[in-house]
This record gives sequence, structure tokens and C-alpha cells, in this order.
Amino acid sequence: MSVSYNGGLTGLTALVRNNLVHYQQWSDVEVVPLRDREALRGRPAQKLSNDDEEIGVEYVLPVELSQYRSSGVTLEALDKVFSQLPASCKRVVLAISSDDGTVVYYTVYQGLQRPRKN
Amino acid sequence: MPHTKVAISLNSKTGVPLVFDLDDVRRIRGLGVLGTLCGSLPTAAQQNLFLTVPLRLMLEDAVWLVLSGHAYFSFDDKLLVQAAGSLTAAEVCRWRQDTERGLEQQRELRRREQQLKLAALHRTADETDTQRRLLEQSLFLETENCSKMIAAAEPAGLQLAILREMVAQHLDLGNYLIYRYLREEQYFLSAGGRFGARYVAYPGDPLRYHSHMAVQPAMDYYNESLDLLHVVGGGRLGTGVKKLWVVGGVRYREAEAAATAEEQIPPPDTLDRLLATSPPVSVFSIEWSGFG
Repeated sequence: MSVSYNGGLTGLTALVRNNLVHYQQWSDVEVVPLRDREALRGRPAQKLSNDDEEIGVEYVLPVELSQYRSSGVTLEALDKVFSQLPASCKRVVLAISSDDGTVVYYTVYQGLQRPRKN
Repeated sequence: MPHTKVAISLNSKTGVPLVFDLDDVRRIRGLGVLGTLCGSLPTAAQQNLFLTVPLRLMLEDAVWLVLSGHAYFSFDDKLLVQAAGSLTAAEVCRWRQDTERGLEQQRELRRREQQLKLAALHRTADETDTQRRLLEQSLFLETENCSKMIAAAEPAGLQLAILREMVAQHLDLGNYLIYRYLREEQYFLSAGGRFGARYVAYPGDPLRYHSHMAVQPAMDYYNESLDLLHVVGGGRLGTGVKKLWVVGGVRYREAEAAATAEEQIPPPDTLDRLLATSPPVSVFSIEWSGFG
């Protein structure tokens, strides 16, 4: 995949962005530079939770899954990520990418959260 | 006389807290402490559907109940050793006399009943050996709920010293602080082994509510990375059983910084740290996003 298709992005961020745009059909996906890592922002095709009123902007944090190396995602790092996002943002989507290119998405809420309705 | 606090029996070596009194079980349930009933008949131990007292608590439950003033520890083994050590022959003799006196009263009562019956039938009869044996068989031997040896007052000063020892030996401070945080948020907590967690958190009594969270053991807030394979496994399991997978850690450095600012020497002991400072905790709830 050439650089131009990725909008100048490299590696992990590009992989997750492409997955969001082309596979999950998200719109308005763009990079949010944080102090020591990159996040993404975009609008999902469907509501992420039935508890939501409408589709809003979601923040995505790309991380790499490797079985023998630590992920580097400490609780402190998560708190730091939240502190750099708008105060209205109560959750980020962890985009866990494995070395075969699959990406799985897990939502991380800051604080305690009740299970969503079906 | 009923004690105003709940008695939690604790063997100081195993550190397993037990509650034996049914009223106490009901009281602490009202406080949001669940525990697990684990008493059974020795001959029917497989009948685990019908378990009864004692109620086994998590150590976190026990320490929280004691520190919040709802309960006290009763250290059965130590008390017993102490009581047995100070036992005198005169005391044992007195207990035997007490028992014998009780039996004699019963005998007297039975004899009088027998005489009244005979009088009603207008008969008299001498007491035969058979009658005497029957009378002996009809006597009740009372088994008391509490040993006479430990019925005496608990020795003073033992409470805090052994609470300290228990906390140091068996309690993980991080787990306890997460536990306390969830309690302050009005959650009922039970042991979470069934879901691969440290605690399962219910928004109210488990008889009325489905649980909301599978809470993981406390992590090192600063140095421990999330194991992403665990996140995937826990998140999927959580979604499957309608729970969020919760991770948390204690921000010790903030409490230490506050202590330094006030020019306090940080307390060295776990229990002192527990009592003196309240380090804040950070928790995160994780679930599968529903796609990918």
C-alpha cells in the first residue's frame, strides 16, 4: 500500500484508519495527535451503544497486540489519554491490531459504567 | 447479652473470616456484605444447595466491616489457647458440679411427675431399677452454643495488634482500595472467581439485580501494562454475560505527594497507610465495541 493512500500516515495509525474507513464505514476519520501517541477521531456508521441518543464523534486509540511484548498501555497512560481529549469524552475505543492486520475494537470507559441495553 | 457489633471469627493462621450468628448475617447483608454460606452437615457435605452458617467473608469484607466500626474480630484460636492455658482444676470441677446440679433438677422433676401420675391412678409403687433407667434416659443433656472457656470477655489490646498482623499477612492493599471505592459507589461485591475476576459487582442485592461488572485484581497504576489478550478475552466474556470488565489501580504517588507536602513521614505499615491516607484509585470499564 503506497503512502498516498494512507494520507501520509504510517504503520499502526494507517492500518486502523483504513480499517475504520473502508471496513467499518466510519466517516470524517482524522488523526488526533496526542503528546506521546496518536489517536483517531471519526463518526461510526451505527450507534456504538443503544444508550446513546445519536451517533456522535468517537475517539479511537490504536494499539498493537503482541503476545510477548508489553502493550505499553498502563492505567496511567489511559488517564493521560483521557486528560488530552475533550472533557465530554467519557470513552475511547481501543483498536487492537494484531500482526496479521486484523483489528478488534474494545470500548474503554473512564470510571464505572453499567452494561449497555440490548 | 447481644453484642452491638457483629462478631467475625478469624483463625489467625488461615485468615478465613467467618460469621456464625444468623442475625449477624442478616445485619451485614443489610450493609451490602454478601459472603458465602459454607456450613454443611459433615455426613452430607455434597448437599451444597442447603448450606448454612457459617458465612465465609472475603478478607476485604471483614476488614471493611471492622474498620468502619460495624464488626469486631474474634480470634478463636488465640482465645482458646489463652483460655485453655488459664484453666484451673477448680473451674473444671465447678462446671461438672453445675452440670450435675442441672441433671438432678431434671430427675427431681421427673420423679414428681411420676408420683402425680400414680396418685391420679390411686396407686403407689416403689421405684424399680427399670424405672430408674428409664428416668435416666429421659434426661436432656444440653449442648451450649458457646464454649464456657471463651464465654469470658475478650482480652483488650488484642484487636488492633492482630488486625495489623492480618492485614500485613493476607490483605492486598491495592485490592482493598478498589474494593472500598466500589463500596463507596454503592456496589455490592461478591467473590468473582466464576468470571475470572477478583470481585463481581452488583448495583444492589444480588437477589434483585443482575451483576454489572467483573472487577479484576488491582494493577500497578504506573508500571503494569494492560495485557491486551486479557482485554480481548475479558471483554468478550463480559459482553457474553452482560458485564463490563473493570480494571483499576491505585494512584499511590498522589497520596504520597500530598503527605510530603504536609511534611508528614509516610506511615510504614500497611494498616497505618490504610488508615492515614486515602490514595485515589482509577478504574476503567471495558467492553467489546460491537464491531470488529
